[in-house]
Amino acid sequence: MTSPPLQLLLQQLINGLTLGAIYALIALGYTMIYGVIQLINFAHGEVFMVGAYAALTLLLAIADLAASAALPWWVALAGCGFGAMLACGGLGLAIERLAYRPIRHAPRLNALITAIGMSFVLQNAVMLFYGATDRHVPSLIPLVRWNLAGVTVTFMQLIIWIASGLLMIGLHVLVMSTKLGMAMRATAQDLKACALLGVPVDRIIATTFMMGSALAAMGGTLFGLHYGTINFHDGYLMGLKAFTAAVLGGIGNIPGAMLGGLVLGLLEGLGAGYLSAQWKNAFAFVILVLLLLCKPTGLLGERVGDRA
Amino acid sequence: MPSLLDIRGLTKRFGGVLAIEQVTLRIVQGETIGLIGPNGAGKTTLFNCVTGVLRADAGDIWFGREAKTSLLGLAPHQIVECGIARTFQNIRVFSSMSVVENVLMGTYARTHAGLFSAMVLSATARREERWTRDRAMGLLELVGLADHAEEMAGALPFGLQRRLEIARALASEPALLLLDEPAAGLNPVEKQGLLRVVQQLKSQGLTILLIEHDMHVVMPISERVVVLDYGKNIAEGSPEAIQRDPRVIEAYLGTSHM
Amino acid sequence: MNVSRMTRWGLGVLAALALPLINPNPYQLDVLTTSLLYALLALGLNLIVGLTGVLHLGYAAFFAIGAYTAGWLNIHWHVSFWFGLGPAALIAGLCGVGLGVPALRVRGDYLAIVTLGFGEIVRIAFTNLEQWTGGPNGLLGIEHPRLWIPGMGIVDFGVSSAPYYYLVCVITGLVAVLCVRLSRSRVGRAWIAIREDELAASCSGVPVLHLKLLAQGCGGAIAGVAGAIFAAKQGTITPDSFDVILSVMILSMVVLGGLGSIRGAIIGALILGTLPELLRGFEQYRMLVFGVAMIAVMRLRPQGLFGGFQRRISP
Repeated sequence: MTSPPLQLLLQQLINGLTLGAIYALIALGYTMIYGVIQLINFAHGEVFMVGAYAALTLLLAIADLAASAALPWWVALAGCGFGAMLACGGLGLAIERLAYRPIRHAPRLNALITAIGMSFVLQNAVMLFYGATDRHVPSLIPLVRWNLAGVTVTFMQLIIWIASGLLMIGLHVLVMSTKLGMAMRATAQDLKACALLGVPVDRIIATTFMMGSALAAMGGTLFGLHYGTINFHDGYLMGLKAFTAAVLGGIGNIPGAMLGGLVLGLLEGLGAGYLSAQWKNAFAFVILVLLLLCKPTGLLGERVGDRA
Repeated sequence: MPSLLDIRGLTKRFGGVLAIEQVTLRIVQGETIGLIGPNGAGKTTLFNCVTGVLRADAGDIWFGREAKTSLLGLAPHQIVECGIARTFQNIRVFSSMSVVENVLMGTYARTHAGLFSAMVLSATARREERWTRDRAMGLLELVGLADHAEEMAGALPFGLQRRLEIARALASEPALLLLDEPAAGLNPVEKQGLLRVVQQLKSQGLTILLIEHDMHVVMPISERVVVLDYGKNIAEGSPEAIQRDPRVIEAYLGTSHM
Repeated sequence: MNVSRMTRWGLGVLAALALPLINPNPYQLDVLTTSLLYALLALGLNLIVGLTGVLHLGYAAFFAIGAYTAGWLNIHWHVSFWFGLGPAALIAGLCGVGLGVPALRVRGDYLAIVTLGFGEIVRIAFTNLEQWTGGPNGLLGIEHPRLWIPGMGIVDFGVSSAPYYYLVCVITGLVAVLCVRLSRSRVGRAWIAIREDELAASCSGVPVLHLKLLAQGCGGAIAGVAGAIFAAKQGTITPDSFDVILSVMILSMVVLGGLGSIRGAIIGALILGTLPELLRGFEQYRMLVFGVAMIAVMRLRPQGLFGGFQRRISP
């Protein structure tokens, strides 16, 4: 049974928005890190992937508890999600401290090469530990779905929207209204000046990494629960797409990353309906390349200050 | 007298800031002109516009015998080919290359050996290499750096790096040499050495435009001095007249800027 | 060159040529051949990354273009390997320039991503354009090289190891010599100046964009030659062989050897190419090792084994 075109379109949009929310969570990490130290953190996509695997590990650990109904699903979800966020926050801190901070004043090329190396290390570490085949994520969210005028919305999708929405609002509030947020924004604008003014830039940068990684981890958790299978290679693809989203919104621009994520998700959702699966990934790369060539400042404009 | 360089009404904006506004400057062949003004007056911006590093927003830059070639819109390397070479306020030698290699770099615009001749080591390429090397050594002797030819440029003391930049600029056989604060950071002895080099270049007929703060360097070598302040021409004349000009004094000491 | 250097070089060349006769183990010879092929690729990437300072993450695409060009010409138009080398190099080189024209306008970090995207687009395109490239199954039935050797008649390289070893030795050696000559020439100096300080280079009369494109073209052409050799040796080529992992691997070889160093590119390739074989049984750790190698080199000895410089931090 084929759905009428309008409903197909709406369905693609709904699906696209879901994917877009996850892109946004990952994109935020890229954009915040680029904002403070002007580095494309190639390893960020892998952090997302680690988050998915971390959530999976926790989920399997407490699976019995959840099943025996001693633990309601939403507690399990929160537990896995926050657990993954914690793990990846720590991972982000470690990466920054061990790999990036020592070479902060080295030429750009060196930092990029380090980031690539880090991405490979993470990817392969996970592959060696968890195996190269897809891993199945047990379903946690009750399989409820609603049908509104021929368009299906699942409970899982709702959860994704709510969770990512809350996190994004939280981040926005933090960045705009707290002292920490102000310090982050100032550091992104002019790191040298901040250092001279006594702002603890090392700590700010570390915090930025931590927060970006935590958001990616939640993205990974939701991703795993939504699609049901995860693979160590997911980080690479999702990472590149999320980076595209960050550039699309304007690198360094936090609301831009959120917008970029949603727009990219929508574009992909629409494209998926009309493009063959094989070309779908090429489509994402083409968007990325065209974007960087033609409008690298993105939709809402870059916010990159002076280099450290 | 025919001009070599004719700048008319040159204007450059950075966002909302007018770096230079309607600047006019004429240089005649063989002249040395000093360009002075307080920090931020737009002197280096002017250099950057002339050498193609920046694109001016308005105005004209004419160059060449009878000033017929427009420099607007040309890339820096094309401007070098026309016959203008420069040095930089913050020294930009190629640190990891040797002193003589730095000067060899300057000959790029006047040499032709390409990919193919490089790979087959053709006789033409080898001859050209020898010729450019001899020329580079000659220039190093001129600036007094011949003994340091094979040293790493980055290892030279500051004053010598400045001279290296001049040698590199001269390597492209310019008709007009732009010097951006060549005496900055030099001690009095080094400044004397610099003056000697510039005097020699003048005696060879080179036209020079010089940005400099130290009037002891500007006075002996400049026929005329042009003064900029806040991006605009405020005075022009002989070095002695300029030193006494009340507008210039005010610009530097800033009674009205307080 | 003085006598002692020539003697050393001469001995080295003799040793390299005599190796298959001393140790005819085909498997080991094959590993060495593959490493030397990587060395050829590393020499090409070194021109782009090491000499002009452009971080290129899609180098495998040019390898693929060369391989598919030579392979397609061989299968459809019966162009022999030897005559396929030229077109492979030319087309790959042109693609290098073609990519460079839009890409070099973009600033450093983004340029890296653009090259990455290009590499992936090429791979996906080769996977999906079944009509031209055979799709995921690739091109099959590419002929092995045939050479007339005095005293032996026409020799088909077949699947034996020694002929390919000699072939790759000679070609890699030749390219290495050309690269050395280039780096000491007017063009090579200009490339290094660009890497050091683009603005100063430009103001010294160096046409920066042209020379960067030239480097891209040369680098691409070298990868094209390597691709043609690879296609003829394997007989079958599939898109999977030309993924981003290969691009990163070649990059790590150049980084390890030292950016800009020709000797370094070859030795870096030999080390990282033979290492996985020495650690038999640890195959799966290969990519982990590459990653760690890159991080460690950047942290501890950014100039690599033989590189001697650090790029000026751009203002």
